[in-house]
Amino acid sequence: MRNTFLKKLDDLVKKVSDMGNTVDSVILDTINVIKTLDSNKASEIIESDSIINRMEHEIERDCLNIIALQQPIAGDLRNVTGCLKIITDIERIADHCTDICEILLSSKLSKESACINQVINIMENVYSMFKSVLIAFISKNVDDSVSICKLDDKIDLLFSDILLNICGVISKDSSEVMPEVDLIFIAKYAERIADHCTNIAEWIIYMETNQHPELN
Amino acid sequence: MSFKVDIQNLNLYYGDFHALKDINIKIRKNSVTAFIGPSGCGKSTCLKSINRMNDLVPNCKIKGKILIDNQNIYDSRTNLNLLRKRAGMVFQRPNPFPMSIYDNIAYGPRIHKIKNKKILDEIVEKSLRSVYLWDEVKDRLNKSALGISGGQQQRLCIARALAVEPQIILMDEPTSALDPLSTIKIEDLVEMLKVNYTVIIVTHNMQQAARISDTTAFFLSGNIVEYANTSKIFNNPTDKRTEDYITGRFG
Ligand SMILES: Nc1ncnc2c1ncn2[C@@H]1O[C@H](COP(=O)(O)OP(=O)(O)OP(=O)(O)O)[C@@H](O)[C@H]1O
Ligand SMILES: [Mg+2]
Repeated sequence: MRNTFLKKLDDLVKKVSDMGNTVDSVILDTINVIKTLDSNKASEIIESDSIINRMEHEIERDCLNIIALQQPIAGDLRNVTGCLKIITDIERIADHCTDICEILLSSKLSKESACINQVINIMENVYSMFKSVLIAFISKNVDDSVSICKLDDKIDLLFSDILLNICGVISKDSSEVMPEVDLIFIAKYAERIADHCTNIAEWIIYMETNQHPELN
Repeated sequence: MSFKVDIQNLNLYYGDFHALKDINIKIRKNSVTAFIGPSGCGKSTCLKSINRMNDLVPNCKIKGKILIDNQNIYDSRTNLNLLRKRAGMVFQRPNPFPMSIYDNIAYGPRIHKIKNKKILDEIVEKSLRSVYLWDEVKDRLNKSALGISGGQQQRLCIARALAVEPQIILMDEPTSALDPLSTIKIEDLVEMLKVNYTVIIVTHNMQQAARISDTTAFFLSGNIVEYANTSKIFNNPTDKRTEDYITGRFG
């Protein structure tokens, strides 16, 4: 038995889920900032991004070390390459939270802005998608991963709804357009986060089955 | 699809011990096949049965067929000398004969009644060139083969096997006694050999099997658990026991 090697693989999965948990709270905080428009909190989220980048690089280095020194094959190799790909998606998700916070910092959005509740709703949907995909990763659950991939269509619909409604609002009253445009951007970032969740789900399926599905 | 070697329902017993259990595999012409598996699982036994080296073992009983070019080699009409000329063997430890480099290579052809000095010279040069040894030894062909390095000796043994123009080359852990550089040379050589020969190689080195073979057979306690394309075996084996073995989770 290659005990040291198996422990390294376990450690790797643990580090990826730690990174996932950190980004989990970043998404949650970002949703709160959309609700409260608290600019201090928004700045904090932006600053914390470097922690996530560091986590990504450390895991990247671990993966390359395992590949170079342990020469994993078959399922082991898929696990390592899967982790390597998944952390890129997790890192991008955190980036998008930072993007959202940067918009909020400079925006004239108010809590009464039309459609803001819809944007909070899409973010909350995306958040639960991320939570599910993280659990699917830890439990190596292929069935759940397949269902998560299908959720992406629902998020796309929510996004088109938001776009339609905001266009309606703007066409009725074009005196203050920028806050509504900001909301479109935020919703678009939410939709991108869902895409990354789908990617992660696809990598989980690949890790477990050696098949990379193009479910979307 | 042309199969060079077709092993059918092969069962082999050493006395009461059932060493090979119902082996069935077909090996393509001009391919490299790797036999892998834990120690004592029957890889060498299976390899040796392809040129009937097991005939030399007392109490060894064999049932089933091995077809080479559709001819059953266990048929009573088989000429053993011709069979061993057709299927040459290279062993784990280089075993040059205690004679000159030249005579090592010329040994087989001479047995097969080639006496003409010019033809022998040609065979020696051609065989040594095909294992990339010619330049290293051409100035000392008449020196003892025991005086060259282990890696050179192993290539000499391969050249000796090639000198009788075999069709099949059986290699039993040919690089396990060699340093990494000599190992790479043998591996490169195997890659070249398959253009003209059918190669079957036993190896304990998973990476080596992955690097050089087209198909891989995984042996376990006398059975072949899985036989498939090498990329299938090393990416996504069907049998859990195969995956456990190649990923080092065995036992
Ligand atoms: N001449 C023999 N007489 C009796 N038993 C034998 C003989 N040769 C091999 N065996 C037994 O047959 C089984 C298969 O042996 P074989 O040499 O084929 O294994 P292997 O897979 O090549 O192992 P290794 O990787 O250690 O070389 C072993 O249990 C071995 O002890
Ligand atoms: Mg052996």
